[in-house]
Amino acid sequence: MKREEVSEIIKKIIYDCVPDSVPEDITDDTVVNTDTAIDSMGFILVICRCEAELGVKVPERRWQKLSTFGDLVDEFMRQLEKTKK
Amino acid sequence: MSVFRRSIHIRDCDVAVNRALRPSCLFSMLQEASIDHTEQLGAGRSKTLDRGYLWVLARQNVMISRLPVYGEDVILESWPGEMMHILFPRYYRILDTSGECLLSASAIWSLISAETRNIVFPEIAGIKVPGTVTGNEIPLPSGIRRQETTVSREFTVPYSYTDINGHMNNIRYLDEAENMIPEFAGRLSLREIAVDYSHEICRGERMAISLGISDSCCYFSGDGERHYFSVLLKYNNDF
Repeated sequence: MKREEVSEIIKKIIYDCVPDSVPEDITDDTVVNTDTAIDSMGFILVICRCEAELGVKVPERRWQKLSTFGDLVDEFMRQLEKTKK
Repeated sequence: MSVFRRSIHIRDCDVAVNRALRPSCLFSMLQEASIDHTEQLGAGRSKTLDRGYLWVLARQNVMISRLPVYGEDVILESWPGEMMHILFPRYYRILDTSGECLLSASAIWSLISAETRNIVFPEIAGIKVPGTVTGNEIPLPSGIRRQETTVSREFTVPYSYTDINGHMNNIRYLDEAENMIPEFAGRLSLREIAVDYSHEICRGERMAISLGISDSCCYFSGDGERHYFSVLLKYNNDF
């Protein structure tokens, strides 16, 4: 799966789960996890929905490293690559 | 397969003047079923409340064909979905005596520490709720987009609204939303209820509850030091 495809999937999920938390034009630099203490229900929902949609899991220990939209996309790309090996 | 079932008789105190089950009473029934079933599944009080962990509701969504009415006997079904990290999905249906589904609901629960009020990882708490798939699941709740509001009133959480978790109980948000519903909307039939419990609010704390009306929807928002909740009521008829 190409990065652009993953990016579009995640973007759609973000708009669905946390419609008011991000601007209409999300870029890789857009901050999507404003609470790095992992108390953000919306962010966690995004992770869970992305996992279900993309068929991979992101370990909880990595959540705190995910701050921007680009971080999210990169992480899911990383997990997708792992499943190929 | 673990599906909780409860027979319910709709009483006069459960309904509004239109004789249909009030949203807050519906949510109370769903909440109690969740608690009772979780107890049966071994993740109840002795594993949670007595150990300093609280079950909290994050989001809930209800899709309605019709609400049960005064005097009606119905069956409430509820079952847990597969755990998603720290999230505990749960699903519900209410059926009439012929087995027809009157409404379906989904909810997202999580565990928090009673002391820190932060989310708790289930592995740390030693909590596991095995999921069930019945094929009757509806999508989990999405986020409610903020909408323009035109009416607002100040609200202070009274003691009587707080529950065992020490914060305003889930169903009270529906009560407060209903208290602001225009009279004409109260006569229309609901087709969907969505609630985001964004942040808890405790006794004595204040928020402004605002109402916005558009097309066939009433949108409510509770805001103060932070955004506390959103409620969206969708009706079958345009206003």
